[in-house]
Amino acid sequence: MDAEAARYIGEGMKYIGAGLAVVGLFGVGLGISNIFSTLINSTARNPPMQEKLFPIGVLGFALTEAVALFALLIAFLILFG
Amino acid sequence: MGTGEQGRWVGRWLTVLAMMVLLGWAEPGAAADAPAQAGHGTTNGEAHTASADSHAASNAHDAADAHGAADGHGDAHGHGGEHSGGLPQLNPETFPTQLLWLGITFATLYFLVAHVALPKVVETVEVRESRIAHDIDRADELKIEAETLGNQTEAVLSGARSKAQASITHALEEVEKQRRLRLEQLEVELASRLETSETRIQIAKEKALAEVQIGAASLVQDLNKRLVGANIPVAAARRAVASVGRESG
Amino acid sequence: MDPLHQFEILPIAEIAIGGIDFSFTNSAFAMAIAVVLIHSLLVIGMRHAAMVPGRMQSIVEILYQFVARMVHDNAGSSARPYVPFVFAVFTFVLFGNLLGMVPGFFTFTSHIIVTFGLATIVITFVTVLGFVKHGLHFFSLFLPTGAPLALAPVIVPLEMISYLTRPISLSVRLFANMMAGHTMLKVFAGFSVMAIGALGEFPGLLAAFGPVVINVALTAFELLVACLQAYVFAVLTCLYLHDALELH
Repeated sequence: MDAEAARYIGEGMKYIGAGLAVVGLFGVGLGISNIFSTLINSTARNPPMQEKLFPIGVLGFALTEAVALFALLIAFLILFG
Repeated sequence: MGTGEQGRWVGRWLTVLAMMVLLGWAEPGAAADAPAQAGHGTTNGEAHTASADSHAASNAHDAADAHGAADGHGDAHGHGGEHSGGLPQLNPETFPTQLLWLGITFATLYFLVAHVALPKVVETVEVRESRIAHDIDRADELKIEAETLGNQTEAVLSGARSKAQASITHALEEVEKQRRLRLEQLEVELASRLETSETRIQIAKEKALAEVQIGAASLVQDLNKRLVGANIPVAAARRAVASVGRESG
Repeated sequence: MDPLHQFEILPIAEIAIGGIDFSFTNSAFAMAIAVVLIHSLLVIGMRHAAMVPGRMQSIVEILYQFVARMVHDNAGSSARPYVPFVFAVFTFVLFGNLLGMVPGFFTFTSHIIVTFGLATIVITFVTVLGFVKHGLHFFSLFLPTGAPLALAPVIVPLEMISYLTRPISLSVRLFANMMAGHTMLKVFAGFSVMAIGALGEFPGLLAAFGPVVINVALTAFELLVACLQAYVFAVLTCLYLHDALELH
């Protein structure tokens, strides 16, 4: 096949690759909802602990969100790198 | 905070924000082409990030040499054209300048914060905390002192109260005694006076009776003279009155 | 409308040393503004330091107490001398993120090289501290207590690799958050412009309201993320400090 067709196919593959890269966000969604559901559960069981639990919950959320953004970074690297 | 003061506060912050927005817009919009040096490839990027580690010690000259070596290596590629659709963050030509200015600004910030700005904050916070702790201790001391004083006052007051009570009772008793004494005296006096007056009354009564008898006897004499025309001797008239008096009691 | 154009580095004053470009760029300008803002906030706030704090002094003191408490809780009381360092890191990242939210300003934390530089500074500082304090015993960090010695050849390399990926995860977290946020803001803003272009003036203006509303919500979310990412960066710094000082 000639070079132009190969280039088009390559561009198309990039888009497919970027789309596949963000499939990992499925796990991240589960993880974040897990964190907050546990936070709500614990607060319901023991309301005075809320001030101590909330910063840890927020930290956990940020760390899990980071994994989501690693996936997004890979997608960007594939698309534009 | 009153509304006028609130307005001034908001105005101040809005001015700062507006100035920052203007600064942002005033940044040079002309895309000056980066000097056409190295191309971009993963190996080049790795070399740059590796030298970025050594640079982190904010030693510009060593890093410049390392960057120079890596850049000379990159010249051999002669690519160019990352601006078409590439991520600007991954453009290795910007790495030296970013790292250098990051190092300079962060080092400045650290030294300013650690040696100029924060010590004052730390000192103020610590002075306040020690002052509060000192005040709380002092308040506890004073509370104990006040309690002891209160107890002492209570003791003194109750002593004085009982003493006053005792002296009042004593005074009342004294008064009672005096009263009884006086009463007895008065009774004695009254009794004696009563006796004297009774005696006098008796004497006066007998005298009056005797005079009434003499008067009655003379009346009897007179009556007899007028009615019967007989002269009765005084003694006989007196005897007759007395006998009548005896009869009638 | 290229959403990635906002991340371009544009030089303000060209400086070249030995053929390498070290010019003062818009990114460096933003960093300088952040440092100036932080320092002036601290100095102006504490100018009339009183027992009963006024507004500015309260802000400064609350900021300091927040960082001091975070260091104390996460790194232990032996980390007291390192509070200025964590404070510098926290405020630098915080002000960098928040300055990016000002319309037209450059977000210097949205560049991987900047966040990687910061993360490297942090990890280097912490590692050097660990070596200074514990000497070669610092390597006992890589064999957690209670792990059987027989597994050491497996565990130690794994732990070392995970330790060396700390700067990468720390930097990529901040960089990706900032870049994704600003790209999304630009994309939705682009939708508004495209709606007006495609549908003509009147219906286009109406249709452009949708993306603008989404942008308002996104801006609020981005402000939250700016503060949150600064907090996470600082907390992780404290945790790594704890690892280096306490070795478990």
